[in-house]
Amino acid sequence: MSGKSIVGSFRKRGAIDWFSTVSYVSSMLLLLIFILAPILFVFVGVFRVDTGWGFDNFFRYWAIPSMRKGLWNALTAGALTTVFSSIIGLPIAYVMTRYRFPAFNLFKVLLTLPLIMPPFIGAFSIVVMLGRNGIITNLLRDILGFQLSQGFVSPSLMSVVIVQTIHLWPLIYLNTSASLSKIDPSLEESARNLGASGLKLFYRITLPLAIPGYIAGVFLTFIWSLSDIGSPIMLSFGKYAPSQAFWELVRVEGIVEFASVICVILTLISIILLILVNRFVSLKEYATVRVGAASSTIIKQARGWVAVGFYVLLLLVITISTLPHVGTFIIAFAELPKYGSWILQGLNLEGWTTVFGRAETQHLVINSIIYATLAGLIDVLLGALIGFILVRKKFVGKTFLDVMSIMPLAVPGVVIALGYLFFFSTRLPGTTFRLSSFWFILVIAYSMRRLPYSVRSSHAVLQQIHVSLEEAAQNLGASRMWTMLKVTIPLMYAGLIAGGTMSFLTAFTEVSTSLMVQPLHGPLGVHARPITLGIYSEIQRGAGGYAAAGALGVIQIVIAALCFYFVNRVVGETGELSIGVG
Amino acid sequence: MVNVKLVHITKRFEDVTAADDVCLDISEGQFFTLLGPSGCGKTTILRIIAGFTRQDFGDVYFGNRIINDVPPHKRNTGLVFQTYALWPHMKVFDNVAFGLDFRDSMTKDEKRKRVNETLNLVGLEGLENRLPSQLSGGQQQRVALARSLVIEPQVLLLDEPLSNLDAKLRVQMRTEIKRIQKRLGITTIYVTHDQEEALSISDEIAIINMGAVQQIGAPRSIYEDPDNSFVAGFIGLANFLWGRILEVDESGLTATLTTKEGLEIITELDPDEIWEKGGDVIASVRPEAIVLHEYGSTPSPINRIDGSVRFTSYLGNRVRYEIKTAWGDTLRVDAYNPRHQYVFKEGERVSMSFDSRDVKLIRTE
Repeated sequence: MSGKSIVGSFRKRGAIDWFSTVSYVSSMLLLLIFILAPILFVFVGVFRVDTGWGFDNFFRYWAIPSMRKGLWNALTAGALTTVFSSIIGLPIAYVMTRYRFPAFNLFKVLLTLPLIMPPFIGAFSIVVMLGRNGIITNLLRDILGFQLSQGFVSPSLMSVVIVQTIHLWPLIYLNTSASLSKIDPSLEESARNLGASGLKLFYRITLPLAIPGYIAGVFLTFIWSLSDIGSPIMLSFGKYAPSQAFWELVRVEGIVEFASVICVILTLISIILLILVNRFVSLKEYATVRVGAASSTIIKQARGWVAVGFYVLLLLVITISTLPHVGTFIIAFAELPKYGSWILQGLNLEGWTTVFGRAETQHLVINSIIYATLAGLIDVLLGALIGFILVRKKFVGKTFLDVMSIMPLAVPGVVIALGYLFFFSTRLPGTTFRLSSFWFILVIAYSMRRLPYSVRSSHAVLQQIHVSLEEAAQNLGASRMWTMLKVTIPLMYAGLIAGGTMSFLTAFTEVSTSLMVQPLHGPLGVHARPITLGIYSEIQRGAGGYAAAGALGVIQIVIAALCFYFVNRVVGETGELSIGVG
Repeated sequence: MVNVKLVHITKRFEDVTAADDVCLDISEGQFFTLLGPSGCGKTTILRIIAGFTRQDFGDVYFGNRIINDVPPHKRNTGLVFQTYALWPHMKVFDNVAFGLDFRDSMTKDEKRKRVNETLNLVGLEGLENRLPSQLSGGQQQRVALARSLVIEPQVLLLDEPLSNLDAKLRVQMRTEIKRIQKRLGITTIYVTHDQEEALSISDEIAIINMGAVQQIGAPRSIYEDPDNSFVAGFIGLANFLWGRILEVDESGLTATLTTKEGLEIITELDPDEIWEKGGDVIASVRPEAIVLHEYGSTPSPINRIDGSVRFTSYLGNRVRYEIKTAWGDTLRVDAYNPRHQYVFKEGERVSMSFDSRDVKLIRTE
């Protein structure tokens, strides 16, 4: 009796698991080849020297003062940007999760705008607005007599921090509010019931409960800052590690090994940071038992002076952090003022005629749309698959798969870019074909960089879908496949669409790989350059290219805004739009 | 409709035994209840029958067929989940119609007819186009029931289906479930931790504790003739007096015991059971079987215990007393219909008496 049952149970297990086995093996292979291998390749390569193996590259790197300075600057900027972003992001997160006021939804949308700042041109337009000869600098001087000889931003570390803060503070805001809004109101209510209120309630209960989200935001902000190539270049601030890595690669007499050294150091820093973060708070949320429907009693209507205060705060923050967008539109559509003036010289559509007049620039846009769409699709599929087996299955190597799928989050983009550049430019065995010359490598790079988010989001969605919903379907006669099709996927639908769109968006504005990996032929048979690279080279052309770069930037902003709108429509009130929730 | 048989079913989860050599024989059309405290393994047994949990040992029979290797979706059971597990993205109609897609080919009209009939049966006509989130808890419960009934399952499985409803609705729904079950004559296995629920609707009850079946029987025999102290204590309340049989009379129908404290108790015996002189036993007396008297005024000196009132709680239809005995134990006494009775106060000395027919002997394990 029992013997037969045991054999039966194994056979049953084996027969059922082929679907998960195939998903498991294929996703494991994909991640090994396209995430782990390139990074390891950089790590191994950095120890290769003329005489064999050694630390020579590190010593040579460390011997150059400007390199040391660049590393120090990048770390300082990361820390300062995180501090400033917290100062802006935390109060706004609290206001936006605990209060309602007229035009709340409009503010909610506006507050996410900074994140869709187009690369290069966004930072560049801050210089145009706030630089020594900036439009706003000149305006303030003429109207208020407010004299700033260097402008608000200049080639300095502090300016890099300002530009990064303008761009990144929503990461803190969004991640913290995700945590804040998930707090079971009864947890705060019971504290109130026991006598806590005001600041005490905030510091003892609310803040600790929101810590996982906040820390996730801090981590993402720091890493993002640590892999920022664009802002230092646009501010002409040379001593910044990630952009130094980039320069060493593209300069004629650049030292390629230094790029590797920088990448290895940056990766080690982020990994150490990730371990520290995980030690203090597991990014995977505090487990809160939540019973019954959440009451909305802790959301208050803001009135009177409180509301006025909120409006002043929000408008100030929005005004400053949409400067890059406003600047980009000005560059794209207007004749810039003469030196020392702030008066625009009228309409200028030259940029648009350049973009749409030349096949070369048209292809930038088309290429990027193709790349980003494919990357979004890959992320949806792979993310759902990996999320599914991580949540619903038990298997050997689960932690390994989990860690690998999270890795691109912890590794600065410039590292992945360098890994792809090195690893995939080796010829495939027995052929003359290099993967890096095929445009699809950009699609893969984009999808891998965004994969952690889609894995996490399908992971989160699946955990909310109680297993009993699937079991009920099977109990009524549906096979596993049918259950997946009719129950699991429809329930994941909104999450998948939102995740895919966000992948599309980040791919569309991606910097590091777009700049460094340059395939030979694109999907249309001509050049393979993506839009970001186009913006970069237009700006590098000097004054003649600004308008075209501005036009391309506007295209990025508009498409990104459409994506946000679309995601908000799909996800609606039920889901929180999460950008980079761990 | 089939009879369901579990033969030596055992299931371990790491270091917990959720099912310990469970044998059940549930006949066709029976309303069978698995009753036990939470965590006792009753839900595991239900999931083994539905096929979601695989037993380590033992066989499950539907009729004469062993179904160990039949996957859940081929078992034709209707499982109602504790959380209802209604699909939030489907309307009531689609939730209920779902299972019909896997049954013999039916035309659209036949399906519609069948779904509507079932919705009528559970009293949900007119709500076909609502989403689950637009329904009250009781209505969701009915949808879950309809969804399981519409496929005409061989066995209906209910996993604490009423635990999320309020007290009034719970009583109403359980009569409803019983009514529907009777009308369809469907074999039903019901899991609950609520003894009143179990007693009120079951044909037969299996009491489960720590994965093992303690007793199987009709509600009345479970309550009146508990096989062991767990069952006696779990179903209703029981006062236990530990003692030894002093003497069994010649007819074998009456026995005299002495308790540890030296108290003498006379009890009537079940004629089917044989009790030996000198055996260790537990005498179990239900709170409602004990009568309270003013101190010293019991009508007879037999089966009398003195004590003082420690706690009085008024429950409307009865007064529950906790009485402290001379040797320090606490006995619980229920005095029903207190309207015209004297209610004893805390600290008052009282005497308790009970009929020798109301003492149930349990062998010590």
